[in-house]
Amino acid sequence: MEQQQVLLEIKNLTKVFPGVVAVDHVSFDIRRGEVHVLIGENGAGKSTLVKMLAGINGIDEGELIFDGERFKPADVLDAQNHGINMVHQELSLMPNRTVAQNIFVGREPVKEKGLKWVDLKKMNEESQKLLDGLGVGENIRADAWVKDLSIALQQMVEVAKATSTENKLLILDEPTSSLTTPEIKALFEIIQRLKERGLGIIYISHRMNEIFEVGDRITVMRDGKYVGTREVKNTNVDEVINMMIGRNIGQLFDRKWNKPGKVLLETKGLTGLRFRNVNLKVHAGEIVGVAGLVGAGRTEVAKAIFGFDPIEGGQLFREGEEVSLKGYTPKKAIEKGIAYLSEDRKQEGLFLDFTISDNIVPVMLSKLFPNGFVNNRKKVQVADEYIKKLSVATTDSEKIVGSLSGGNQQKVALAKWLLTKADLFIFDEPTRGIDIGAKAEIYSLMDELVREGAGILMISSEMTEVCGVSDRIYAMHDGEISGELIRGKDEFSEDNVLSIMLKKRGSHE
Amino acid sequence: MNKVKNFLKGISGSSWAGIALIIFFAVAIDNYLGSRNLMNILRSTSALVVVSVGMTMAILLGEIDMSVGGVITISATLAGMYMQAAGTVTVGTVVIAVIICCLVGLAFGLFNGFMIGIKKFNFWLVTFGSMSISFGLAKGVTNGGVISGFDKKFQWISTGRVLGISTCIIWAVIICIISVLILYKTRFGLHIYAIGDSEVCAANSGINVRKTRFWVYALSGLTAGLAAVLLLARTNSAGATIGEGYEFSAIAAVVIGGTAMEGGKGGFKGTIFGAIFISAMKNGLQLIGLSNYWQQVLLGVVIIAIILYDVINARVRFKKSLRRVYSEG
Repeated sequence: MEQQQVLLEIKNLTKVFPGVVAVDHVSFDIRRGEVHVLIGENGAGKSTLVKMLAGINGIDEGELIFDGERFKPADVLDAQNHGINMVHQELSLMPNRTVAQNIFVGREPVKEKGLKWVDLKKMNEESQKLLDGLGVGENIRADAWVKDLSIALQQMVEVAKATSTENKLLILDEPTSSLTTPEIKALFEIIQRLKERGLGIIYISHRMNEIFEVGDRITVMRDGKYVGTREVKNTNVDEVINMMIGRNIGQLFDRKWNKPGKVLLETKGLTGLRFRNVNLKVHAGEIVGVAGLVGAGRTEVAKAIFGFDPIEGGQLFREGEEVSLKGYTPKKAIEKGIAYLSEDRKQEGLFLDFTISDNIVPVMLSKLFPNGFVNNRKKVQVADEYIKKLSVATTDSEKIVGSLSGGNQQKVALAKWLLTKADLFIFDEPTRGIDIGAKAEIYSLMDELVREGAGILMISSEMTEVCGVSDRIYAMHDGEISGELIRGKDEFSEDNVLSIMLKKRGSHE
Repeated sequence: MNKVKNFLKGISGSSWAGIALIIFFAVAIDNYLGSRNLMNILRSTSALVVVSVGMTMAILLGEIDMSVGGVITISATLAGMYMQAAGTVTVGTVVIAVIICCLVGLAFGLFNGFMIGIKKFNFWLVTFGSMSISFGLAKGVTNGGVISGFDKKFQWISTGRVLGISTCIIWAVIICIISVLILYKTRFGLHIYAIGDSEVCAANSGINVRKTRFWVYALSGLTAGLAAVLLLARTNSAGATIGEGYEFSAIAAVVIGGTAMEGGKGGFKGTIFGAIFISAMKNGLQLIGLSNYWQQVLLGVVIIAIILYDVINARVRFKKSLRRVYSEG
């Protein structure tokens, strides 16, 4: 009987990427009809692990016993045929196709007779039945265009797609990262229905309150390794957090709180394409966290302040002086001492195929080499200085950045901005995809920066991070600032931050 | 009144250009809209619309097949040389000539598909390479000369009449119908759209992206070969320049037809309109006495103008939709 309950046994699963062991001999099991929460900080290896189960990443070592048999998914289709489906963190739907076409993509039904034309009618009917079965048929028509649906409804389409085949194991990778409270409730109802059908569900999330509401068991990962599994009813938030970070919270977020100084940056009624009427302030000596759902407009505000995205209205003040927004570009922003550390290190933050030194100097080329020719010795000298300062783990400054680990890449991206002597830093998801050790280093660097009189605006989706390092927290919702928490005055807890970021300011509900 | 306004705004730039074009030529040229000239326009559309089949599929993937002009040229040249060498032309020779066109086109298509789809080389480099190879081959085997004067039996393919309609139009219509069915009604067709819309999603959904891409280029080569048959039979001569500019015209037909260069949006029905538009314009310009050279200039200008109109329109609509989201709250 006990044997029957186990749906999937994971044994010593290992995945190695260049420069990092992403998943390191992980073993645990998933039961039928349970929601098994997989939790860990950014970069703990959760996504890599589930992608191995779904046939997206190959398995380097270890084995899976699925439904009583040894199983090694050859590819996505193979995993699907065995009943393993995954809903991805970033929505992976085709916006210009209909709901039905998205649900059935890759295995469209064909007519049995004659030439095997695709049976569009059957596709629509089956899709509608599926959506009805999940209780969302009223809101989503099978023949609607996906791009016309809200993000929440698109998520439901993803779930419908993942459950449209004979399904035994469903993987949900951060399904709520862009959903509001009622939408999350609707999703949980669907999860409940699927549980009753006997599906095993792997649920990845960062949000503690959610995990304890929806989960049956929790498995914690840290830096690619398995830490432990707990029954939800036998554990608590503190224990799980301790397992996640492997040290005392105080040690991780080692901040020396100090009194904020003058106002470094202020926006008044800042309005752009995806945000409007944003009023915020950053003082010298403080870290200001910005929380919000994916798509709430946080990155867009940051990029507008940095001169990258157009500003359509409002005012921007730098140390009390109004900044002319006419022809305001990143070049101007850099001249004004503003630095922007991108959330997308690989695409926007670094030249991955360049050396460390070539990544550190580009912003300051004209200052470092006023005569127009790059002096290699000086370049290396400057790079070495910052490699030492930030303790980047590398043999020398001529190593290709792409070969470094995530944490060291982030340090190089940061070094570029430290070189500019900026004093207003915008950190967009500064610890995404880096291990706990490097994280602690980044936090202490941030602390050092603000102690030296800089101000930091930090966008983050990680609750522990926002609550742990910020002096103040702004929350954004639907392109607007929806609330503010101040350390010492308000309690910095996940619940409090969620409550202001999920509710629109002046909402009538 | 508002309805009328919205309706007018919904019309694409190419439709406006088409309407303007017809009115202009109808006024400027006697009998422009006469059945005889309309037939002329459709006849010159036939080869273009056929080669645009493959181009539509490639662009729906978000890519381009630059080799089609060259592939038409080499296919037509080799078939022409065969017929000249064969001497007396029987129905058998005609069939073999057609098969030669198809096989040569398919061979280039399979090569492109293998390199781009299976081996994952860049589509620009591969199709540009094929373009150079095919044009060069055609010049090489003909020594730059022209082969002409084929048998009536072969010319019938394009210049014959069935029920009063030119045969080349009939072939083109048949190929169009098959293409529409493939694109809209088969899993292969839906997978082309899926890959163009989101390749990651398509791959994650178990679509064989490599295989689909391989067959798109293979089909593009085949349709270029088929276009070569129609062109060879209609012009009654083959040389190193017979397919010149067809890659450009085909891309233009696809884009004017509303298919987006980034892939996943549009379709072959629009391409048919685009191809007719281009032929109608060329025909009209010819009739008012504009030289080939200036036609080329004007064609380029018109295409850019149409695309500008549609792109600007789309941007305005995008901004408006963002504002609407906010004001609803």
